[in-house]
Amino acid sequence: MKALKTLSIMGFALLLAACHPRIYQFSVDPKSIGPNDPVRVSWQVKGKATLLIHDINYPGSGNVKLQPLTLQITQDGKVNSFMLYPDSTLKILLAGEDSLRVDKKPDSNTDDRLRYITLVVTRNGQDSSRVIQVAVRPDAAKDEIAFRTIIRGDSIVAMGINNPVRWGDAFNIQTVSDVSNRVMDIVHSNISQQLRPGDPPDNSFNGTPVRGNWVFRSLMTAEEKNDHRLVPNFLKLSITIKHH
Amino acid sequence: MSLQNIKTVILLMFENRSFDNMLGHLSFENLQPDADGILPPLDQDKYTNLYQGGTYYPFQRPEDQQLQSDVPHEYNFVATQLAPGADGQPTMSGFVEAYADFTGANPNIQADPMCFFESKEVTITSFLAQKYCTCDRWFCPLPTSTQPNRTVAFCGESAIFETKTQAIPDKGNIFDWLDTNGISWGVYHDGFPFFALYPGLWDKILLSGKFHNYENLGTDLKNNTAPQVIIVEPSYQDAPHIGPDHPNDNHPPLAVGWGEDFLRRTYQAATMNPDVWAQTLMVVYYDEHGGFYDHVPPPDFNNVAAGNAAPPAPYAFNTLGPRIPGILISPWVAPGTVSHDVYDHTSVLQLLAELFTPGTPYSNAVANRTAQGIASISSALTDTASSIPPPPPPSDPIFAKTLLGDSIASPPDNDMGRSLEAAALNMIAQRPDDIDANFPLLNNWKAAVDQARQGS
Repeated sequence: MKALKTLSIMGFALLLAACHPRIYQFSVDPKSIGPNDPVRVSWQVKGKATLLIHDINYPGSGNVKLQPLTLQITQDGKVNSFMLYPDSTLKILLAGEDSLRVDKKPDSNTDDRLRYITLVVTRNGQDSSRVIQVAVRPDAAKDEIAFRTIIRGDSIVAMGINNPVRWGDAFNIQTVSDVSNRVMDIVHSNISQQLRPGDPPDNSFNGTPVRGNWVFRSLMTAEEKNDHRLVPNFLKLSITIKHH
Repeated sequence: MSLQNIKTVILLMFENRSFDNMLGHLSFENLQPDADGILPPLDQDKYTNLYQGGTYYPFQRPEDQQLQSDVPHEYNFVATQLAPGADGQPTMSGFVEAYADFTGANPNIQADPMCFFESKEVTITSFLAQKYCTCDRWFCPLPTSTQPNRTVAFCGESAIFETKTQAIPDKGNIFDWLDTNGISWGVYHDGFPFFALYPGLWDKILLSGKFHNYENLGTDLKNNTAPQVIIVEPSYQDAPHIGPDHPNDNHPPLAVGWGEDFLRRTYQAATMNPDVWAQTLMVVYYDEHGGFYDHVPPPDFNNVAAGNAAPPAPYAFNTLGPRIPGILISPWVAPGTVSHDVYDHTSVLQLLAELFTPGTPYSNAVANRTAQGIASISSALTDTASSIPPPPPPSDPIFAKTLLGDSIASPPDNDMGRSLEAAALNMIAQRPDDIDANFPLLNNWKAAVDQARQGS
């Protein structure tokens, strides 16, 4: 009887140890795409995997009701089409291979979207999840670049690498605009240009990648030199981007 | 103020949420415009967080669901979150950067630390904040994590500055202070008590008879047999879980629905007996911000002078920690108001000293904080009681959507979890008879854990 009880407990323990859902790896690339670009989704999990796809308006792009669209999912060599309606979530059971491709049926849709791609893994009543967002931008869109400031001599400098993972290669700069309300010297892709507040959008950087090194430099005002609390925490550019 | 009218103080401390995360909606939805929460538009410069050239802004969380991971809040991450500007003052622009450092992954455009709840997701918290007194300048005392902040909350000072697997010194603890001053007290815990992390308090937990199952709270308040000072402990996500017990402390990645239900039950217990309620102050607060964005920079503060341990250079505890949600619930606060006084967790200890040892501060450490501008929560009390009966909380069922991924088969993957588990195992090993008498189900938990982890 005691042996039976021990065996039962051990069996229960083995069941507990084995019942754990796991996400070993989950990736979606690229993170920013044009309206008709594909993304590749890959995963390594223990458990039953489900992919959820849900679109919302891109943050800051307004609340225009998104248009329904057709997504084509290529998995295990088969292509299936699904309608993705606004305010709905597409649910795809994953099986077989550990990756799939999501394309959009080409159309003239120009919605500015943020796509939530969620991997949910269930096993014995438990679940685990990961979310990766993909920016689905129209052929031309607005965005921002900003870096923290440091003081160098009589200037404020903001510089850094604009996130290559977030931006990838799908978009180039079209125009840049000064929204920090001060004269700024901008350096990017071996091009230098001075921007002034109120000037029309500048196209000096047209065709350069959004990602990569940027330097913003601006002279401190007399008030800022006397009181560093007046120095802005960051300098920001408004940009228009173009899909290529 | 109406100190003589307060006979019962109920303290309910949740885990790991910032003011903006839980109550930023008060101003955003124009429910309590006087509260300093989030205001539209969301893409204002003052809310900007930065990461590798990108700008990140607060966003409304569409549903109360379990997050995919915890959010960082150890001292080094908090330093990144505060992001001092050129003048050394916090800019609150580093929450996404800290999250990226913590997860090792590229942050989403709507990154979890920047989310805030709408009122429909936190119905009970929002209801209480609107009906009673919201504190919109309540900061956690230290710009760091759970263990040091809880220690300051219940000891007035902290000899530790980070959360890790450790036995925490209990110098200045509230229980000794209450006992010394002849004040009755009780802890009503819904799971394994946080205080188990303090070996010096084990006698209190195991022998005092003052640690009660949470389910007794309503009965004791209804029968007017509850003590003067009541500490209510939710069931902690990081703690060992016994039987059907479910965590409800709001610690990420947990969905907050469970905590909302716990808060509702506690409020219902507090208001059960009109005579008791007429002399009750219930305080709802959080140990720290949990890594969630808050837009109000914490003020300068000399924590070392106040008697607290500080981390090694280059980190410095020269500010308070980020804001946390604080709500004062009582007939003795003006309904539907906001207190803008600067509070931290020792504001509660100040109140207890004013109530029970008038003229004598709780401790030198607390007095040091008072001298630096930390107010007592008595500043929000009124001289006349509200004649309105306590409004009933929303009765709609609360659906917590969880995505539980862990079980006892896996050891905890963070220091708080490891600490509480180590405390439980040490208690079982060192005080088996007391455990049998007080926490018999903990033995079942240990047996299940031992079995589940064999060969894993």
